[in-house]
Amino acid sequence: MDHFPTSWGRPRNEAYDAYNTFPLHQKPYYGQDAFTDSVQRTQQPIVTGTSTLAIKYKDGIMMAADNLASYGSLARFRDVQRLHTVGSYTVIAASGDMSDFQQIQHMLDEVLINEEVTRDDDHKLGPAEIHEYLSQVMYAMRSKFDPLWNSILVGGFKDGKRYEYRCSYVDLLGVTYTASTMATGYGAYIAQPLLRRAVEGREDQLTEEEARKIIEQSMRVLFYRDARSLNKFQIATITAEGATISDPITLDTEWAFAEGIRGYGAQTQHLDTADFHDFKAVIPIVHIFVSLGFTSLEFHSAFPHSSPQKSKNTTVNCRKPAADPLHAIDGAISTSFS
Amino acid sequence: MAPPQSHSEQPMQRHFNPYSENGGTILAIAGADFSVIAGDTRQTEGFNIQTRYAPKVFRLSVHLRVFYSFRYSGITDKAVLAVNGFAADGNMFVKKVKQRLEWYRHAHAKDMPLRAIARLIQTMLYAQRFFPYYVYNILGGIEDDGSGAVYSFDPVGSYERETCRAAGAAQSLVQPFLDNQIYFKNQQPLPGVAGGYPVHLPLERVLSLVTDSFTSATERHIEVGDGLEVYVVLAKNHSPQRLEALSGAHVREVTSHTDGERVFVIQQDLKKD
Repeated sequence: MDHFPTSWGRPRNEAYDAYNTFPLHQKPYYGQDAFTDSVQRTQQPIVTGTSTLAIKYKDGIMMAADNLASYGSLARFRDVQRLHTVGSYTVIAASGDMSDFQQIQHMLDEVLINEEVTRDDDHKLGPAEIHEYLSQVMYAMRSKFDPLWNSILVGGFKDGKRYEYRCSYVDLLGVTYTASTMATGYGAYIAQPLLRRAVEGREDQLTEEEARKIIEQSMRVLFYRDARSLNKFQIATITAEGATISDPITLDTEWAFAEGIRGYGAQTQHLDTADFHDFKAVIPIVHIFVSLGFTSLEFHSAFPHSSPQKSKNTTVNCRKPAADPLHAIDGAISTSFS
Repeated sequence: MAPPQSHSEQPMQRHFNPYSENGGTILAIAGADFSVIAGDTRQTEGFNIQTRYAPKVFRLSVHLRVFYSFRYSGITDKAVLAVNGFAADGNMFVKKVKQRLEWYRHAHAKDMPLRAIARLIQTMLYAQRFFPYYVYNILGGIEDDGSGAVYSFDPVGSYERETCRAAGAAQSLVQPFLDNQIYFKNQQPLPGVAGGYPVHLPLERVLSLVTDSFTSATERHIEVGDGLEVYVVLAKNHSPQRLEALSGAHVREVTSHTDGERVFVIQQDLKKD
């Protein structure tokens, strides 16, 4: 029904009162109002953050995100923090639109004020609650066709005995899941296989030092492969001791010519350990773009314990599968790296 | 008067797609006095495996602690719902169904019969006819008459009661197999059996068909794998002995009482590649 009183009692046919003889205010126009054009929904992300990572380890959760907010291919803001603590037990990390992420931060701050500060009843929000809240908000916004254009990782540790530590994911569609290793953005393609191989099945043994090594190495690989990333990033740890976000860490990078590299593509000749003294030099050039094949090269060097499976993966692109050059490189690099 | 804007002058508007497809497959088979509802646990998006464990099969039990204290005979243990399709919609839909069942319980001090749950799901799906839950539902459980039942739904609520149904990514692989093994399609009639083939299969046979369906689907479909979660709902008088004797699988009873319908969960590994 027409809820506007000024419309009541008027003829329904627009043409009937063409000269506006009825002594009423102008009938409201039901098309678009003057502000409709100014109301914008996020149709596409504009200022964006790239990958975020999260893994479980023995004492809790470790997360990472670099400090770059891109404007298309322009590295626009190089000192943006994409990790955010929520309360005492939770950290969230966001990729996607950074203005939407700031909006989410404001929303969470407000929730925290309402639920923790105002009530002051010693009930604290843990990662499960934060994740549930976020997923409901994200799903509601997508259902309004007004999505918050982010993929968010939630990591937390609350009262280890009862809640267990967890990391979970929610994206602009409201899709959620939990896993022991998670990665968003390009990290889902590049870092996730590395993380899985290093972490899956070893969540309860990994020390903080090992976890940090895994994260740093993955961020290094991401920086070399993802054109929208930065070699400056922060690491968050959430343990029984609480949630901390590190100061920005800057990685040294190496872009020298890859003359010493062997063992991929057409080059399957004899390997000399001496060629691999400098581990850093290996990274930018080793380049086998076949699913896990290339990752084992770059990664296993840092984690000799996560022994590479002698599977079909490692021999793809190699002329001499029997020699398994990747395996050889693995040993060579790991000695020079440690 | 300005000429009408040509199509190319329109500002480019990218369409936001509110849906996604998260892979996986679900399956349910009804027996004479039991129902088996199964789903794999992989959740995918495109070629990515998001997680190896995201349940798609849910007990529609109403968790009312207060009822347990003085009478629990009415707690809904007879219905299990499997959802497949867009995971966000699926989780939201299950949440809302559970909420409606809880309200029903509060309003009527009894549990909703399975056929009524099926109609409720139909209504809830059709209510979203013009912005549908992109979810294929399969409801399994025990009817009031003690028979095992399976109801299958499409995203907008069309539903029917069946003996077996597969849905999801590997539906086209699994359903023909079930047609052959459960409905005995394209099989010679068995001599000495009324109608040529048995109407209901025993639980052991059904469980092995479920396992075979999922191991085969895992081999041939990239979105199926990682783990298999099978819910078995037994009618009141069905002996669980044969289930408890099941070897090679992790069987766990999730009901806490033995005088009503009983629900068991079997968890098995599927290939993770």
